[in-house]
Amino acid sequence: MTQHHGDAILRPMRSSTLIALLLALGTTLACPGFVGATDLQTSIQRVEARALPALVNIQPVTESYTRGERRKHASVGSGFLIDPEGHIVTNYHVAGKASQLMVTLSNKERIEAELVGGDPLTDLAVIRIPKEAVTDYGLTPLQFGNSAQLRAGAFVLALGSPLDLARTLTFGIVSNTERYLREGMTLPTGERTGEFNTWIQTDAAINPGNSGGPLVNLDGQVVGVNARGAVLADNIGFAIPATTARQVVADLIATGEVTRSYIGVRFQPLRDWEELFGMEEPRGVLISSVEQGAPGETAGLQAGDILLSYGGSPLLVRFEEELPSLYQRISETKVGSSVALRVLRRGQSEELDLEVSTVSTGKLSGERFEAEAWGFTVKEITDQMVFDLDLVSGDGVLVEGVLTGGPAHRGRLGRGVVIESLAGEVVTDLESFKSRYEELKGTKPGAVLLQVRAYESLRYVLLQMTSDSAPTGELP
Amino acid sequence: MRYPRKVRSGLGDVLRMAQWLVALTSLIVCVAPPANAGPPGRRLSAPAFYDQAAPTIATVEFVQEFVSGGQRQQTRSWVDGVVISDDGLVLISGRVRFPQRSKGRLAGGSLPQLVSFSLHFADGREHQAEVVAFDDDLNLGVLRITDAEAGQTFPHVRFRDSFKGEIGAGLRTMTLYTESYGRTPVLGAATITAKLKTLDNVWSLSGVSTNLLGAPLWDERGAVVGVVAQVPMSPWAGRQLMPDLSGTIGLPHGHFADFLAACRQEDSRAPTKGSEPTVDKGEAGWLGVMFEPLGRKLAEHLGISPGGGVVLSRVVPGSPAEAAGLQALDILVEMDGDRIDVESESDSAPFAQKIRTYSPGQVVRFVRERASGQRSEVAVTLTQAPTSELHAERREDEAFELTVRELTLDTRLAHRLEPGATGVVVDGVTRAGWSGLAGLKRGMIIQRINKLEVTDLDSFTDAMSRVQQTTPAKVLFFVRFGKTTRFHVAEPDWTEGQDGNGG
Repeated sequence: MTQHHGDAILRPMRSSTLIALLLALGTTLACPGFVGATDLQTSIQRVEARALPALVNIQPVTESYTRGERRKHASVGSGFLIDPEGHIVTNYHVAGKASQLMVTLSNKERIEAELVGGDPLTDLAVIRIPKEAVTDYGLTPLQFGNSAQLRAGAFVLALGSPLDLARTLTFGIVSNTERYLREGMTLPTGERTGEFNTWIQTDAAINPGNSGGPLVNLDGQVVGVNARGAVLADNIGFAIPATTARQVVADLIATGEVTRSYIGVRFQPLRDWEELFGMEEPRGVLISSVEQGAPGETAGLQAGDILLSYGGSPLLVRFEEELPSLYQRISETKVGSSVALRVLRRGQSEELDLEVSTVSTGKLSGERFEAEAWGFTVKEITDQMVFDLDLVSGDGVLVEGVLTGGPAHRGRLGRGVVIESLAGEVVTDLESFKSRYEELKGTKPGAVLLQVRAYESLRYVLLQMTSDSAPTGELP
Repeated sequence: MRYPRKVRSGLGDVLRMAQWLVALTSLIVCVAPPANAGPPGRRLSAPAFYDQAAPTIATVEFVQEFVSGGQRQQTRSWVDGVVISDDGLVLISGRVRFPQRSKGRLAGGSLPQLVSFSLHFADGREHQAEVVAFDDDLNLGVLRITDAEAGQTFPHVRFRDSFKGEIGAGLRTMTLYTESYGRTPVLGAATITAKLKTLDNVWSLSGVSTNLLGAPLWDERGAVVGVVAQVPMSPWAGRQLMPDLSGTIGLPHGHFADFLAACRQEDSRAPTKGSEPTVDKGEAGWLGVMFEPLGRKLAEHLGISPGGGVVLSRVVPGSPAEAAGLQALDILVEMDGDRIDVESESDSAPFAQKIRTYSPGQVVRFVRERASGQRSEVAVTLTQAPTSELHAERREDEAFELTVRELTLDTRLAHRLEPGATGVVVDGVTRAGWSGLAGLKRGMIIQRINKLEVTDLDSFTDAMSRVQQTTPAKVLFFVRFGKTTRFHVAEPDWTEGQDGNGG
């Protein structure tokens, strides 16, 4: 008999609607007197007094382009103040793509915030409120603690707005300090994430709306940023460790982005496979895949090589929990620098000395644009998209969505294809697409010819504008 | 089971049949005989037709063997067949070659092997049969009864070509109930609802259900004038004649008369068992392009001469089309002097079929137009089509509960492998088997096993037999999936087969 186990779904904890319904299901729970734990109660109360003033409820309006037009969505998330300048930390999937940000402070005042920067790869974002608000309302920022010293079993509180229930505190312990997640590594905004950190697992309740809120210890320090919970499971929530968050937040405040080095190499933990790779003792990390044309390939790395050291310091990665810190270490290398590598190659007893020149990861995802008159939306193609989507090149623009019933839909333009030329002129990037679109959008009635590519296949798409394709808003 | 619906609602079907009989009768009265109906035939009454047709049809029980999840399985299914000659040739649907739905899983992309055929007639006769030939395009097959006694003849149908098949014309069908209903012949009626201009005048039909795929269509005189060629059902039904059209298609006899003639010839040439199950109609030629219909509006916009054509979306690397200099976005408008009158998706199939009527080595001359206005002639020497995933050779490793297949061109294209990439493709794997526990999954391409490179099926077999000889505690598989590679380690329990269940 096959045994089925229910796969829990790991989901980012941003809240949308359904809240009223869920509230209706809530019942009153009487709370009996709690004696004999006054110390703990005092500590929690202290944390509440310390941390709650820094908590904010974030109401972002985000834009999506996947249906072929620009659409707005409202959601709810959490965040916390981290300095007197008014910087607030939250999740990328809450605020990273917001076109408008309103926040409700702990004193229930509602003010507007602006986006400072976001990093999808760690699912973190920084937004800012005027620093006058911090002083005027007497808000006290929170400090990051040291999550590296965190132990399983430590008491923690999660603060946030689960189901838009603002200023909610939940309490629990750290269940695991180095959880490695294989599933759910794509954000609701479409980017991949989670490559550079393990997760703090907690049984403090994390629900939709908790996203971006702080996980604090009994000293009132932030040890993690709550980001996801397991759906169809109880009391399994995950937070981004403070050590990761501290670095990323500093970068975002300083430059608005996180710059990472990239060598195009994937690793596998060595487990107990050392003999299969000609070693008596486990050393290094197994290179499982080398991306074509990436610095790793140029350096001469091959799948099956054991990378013994990176930049002079020896490596040992036997378990998958150790992978994120390795990727993190490579990403922290100064972009464009040369790094010495020591490699053990299958069938060769000599160790090889190689050198890799890192490149910048660049933007994970591109800018978006709505070609309203034609009924579709496009996206700039970044180097990372070429790799993630396995595109033939970085030229052209990617069709992100097609509006049902529009000229593009009638012309059978599909999502995910690349527009290579527009009315006979080559589209090199989003700017060239936009300027050509502005020239041509008035062509009505008439027809515009696109040349599109889906991997190695090419086709023509004819956009036929009818005189009534743009609604005038007049009633008959 | 092929006839579950009938078993469950047998009475309903009888009632429906009665309604159809009424409808049929009225149609026969209304429809004027075709203008040039050939030699005058006598209209058979329904009961007379029933008596005449019933002994010619049989339930064909066929057993398929395939590998699913790395294990060999058999399924038993049923289809209708009709005897077409007195020495026992039987026409069936080509769907028997494809995986049938069963309680277990469908075969993992592999084409099942046909193990046996047995025929069950309404009057209790039972016979064994074997394959004479299949035709891929028609999705029809012919069997030969193998256990006929010397001199035994079989009641069989006769065909008529002169039938015009006007819209509204009534046709008769017949199938058998399942064994539990005594294999009673069931009369049915179909109506020609449209004549499709494409595919050279095939019929759209109403009144035909899925289990009649491949079944004969009789006219009012009791002659077979066509077969049911396509019924909307699972994609496993085989090649779809017209992918865009989800209706039921009747194929007039003229379309498959040559195939039957070839089968008869094949049968007389090799009347004993063990002959090759293919008709010697020559290998189909291969061009190596993907295309879509040009469409009138696009043609006008690009200034292409009117009359239809196809736009090439892809020219397969290494194909004859590439060798001849065809490129993606080229527009083909003529083929050997004839206009390629493809205007829409539903016109595309005949173009593809026409190319398959050529043999490898034959030259096809296309007229190519381009958006730039350039017009030129391109001659392509067709080659033999490369083996497809479905027909790829497969190997099984019982100990690792793993089936692999050769790396075919279609898999290469699907995985976007560079031309030099080699390996074997994981075709089936048992999840709890040694290779399944190692994380091997269908579609992965094995490129190395331990230290041995795996480039093809033979090197796979060599590598696995080396593993068998040395019985290592860990076996390293280096696999590729898409453009990333990965290592998987199996930890076989070599003592597993030696104790316990006696071998």
